[in-house]
Amino acid sequence: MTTPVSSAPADAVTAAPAEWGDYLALMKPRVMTLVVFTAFAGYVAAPGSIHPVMAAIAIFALALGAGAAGALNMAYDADIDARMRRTRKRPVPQGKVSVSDAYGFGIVGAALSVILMALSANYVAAGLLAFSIFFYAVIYTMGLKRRTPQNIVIGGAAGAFPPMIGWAAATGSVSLDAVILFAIIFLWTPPHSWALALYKSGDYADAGVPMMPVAKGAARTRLEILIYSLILVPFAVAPVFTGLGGALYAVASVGGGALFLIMAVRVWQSKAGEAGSAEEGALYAVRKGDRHARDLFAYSIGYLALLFAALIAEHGLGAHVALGFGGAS
Amino acid sequence: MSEPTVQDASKTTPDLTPEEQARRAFEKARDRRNKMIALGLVAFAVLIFTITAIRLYQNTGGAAG
Repeated sequence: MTTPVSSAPADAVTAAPAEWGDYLALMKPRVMTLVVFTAFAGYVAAPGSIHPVMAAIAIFALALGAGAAGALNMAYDADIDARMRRTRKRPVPQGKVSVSDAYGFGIVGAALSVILMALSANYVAAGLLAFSIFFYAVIYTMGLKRRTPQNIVIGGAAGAFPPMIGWAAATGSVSLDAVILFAIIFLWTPPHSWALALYKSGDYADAGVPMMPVAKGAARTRLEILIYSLILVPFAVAPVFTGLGGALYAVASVGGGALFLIMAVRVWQSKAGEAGSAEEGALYAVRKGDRHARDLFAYSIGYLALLFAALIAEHGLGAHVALGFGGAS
Repeated sequence: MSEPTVQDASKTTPDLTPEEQARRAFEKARDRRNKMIALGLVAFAVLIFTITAIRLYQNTGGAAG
């Protein structure tokens, strides 16, 4: 029996067929890794636990939810992704996955992730996960991203939810410590994203996205990076005073924070962002004058990972040495 | 590198037009995708079954929740 000619759309026959790797790319695996890591830290640091298999399923649900939100983002942003060197190789602008397939994948993935979270952990964690997906896909991607230079300041909340969700999965509630972990990522997002935007500003300008360097200029962006860094670094020490962070976390937050501030000051003093984007599309490709912005962008990822790794080491590996501040968790 | 064998040559389909070859490639990719979707559904069912089993075990006093 032969396959009917009409079984495949005419345009689809000539298009490159989607492979499973294209769907994986649709889920932004690099972002997903950081989401899983911070959520795991929130879960481990929380004063409570669930069955380890249930915890593993809950973390998987969170990863699926983050991936689904990424797919919805790529579906909606296909037009601007195609105009930016950094994103034009994504599966949707490449034509490997259609916009409608990306939406379908994102919506089904989001629904399954929330169901899995509700069943494996609790309704509080599931509700927070559903809200974070909605916040990223609708509030940030569809609402803020193309309208205001404050897009990633407000939208950063979406990426700040994972440790709170991990915490809620373990305890069924949200406490002050969970809010502090949320706030650390929330305050970290602007300097992190604007450091990248500084040396990719031409890309954003071409796509019509009003990132801070495009809308307000490079000098204002460098100043805002410094201001947010001055707020972030002291705030990141807060877990030490509530008892959540011990000696290891204190060293990581103070030492790592000092280096963060030094790099932010260097960006502020530099001319980063004045020359537009680097010609190359790679994430870390940079013009000579933008080197400090690129370095801060790269280091900011390591800094956040360091903070949460310290929490995991203290609460998951028994390395917590209380410093006598606040109540021990 | 060794020379192409008779077996390698039998895999080529010189009688197919480029359009037919493209269609076959598309259909193979679609089959792979369908199998991945089926695998995903089975994995989801296994996860739900696992959660149910653990909840039953916990709720019948088998282990502390």
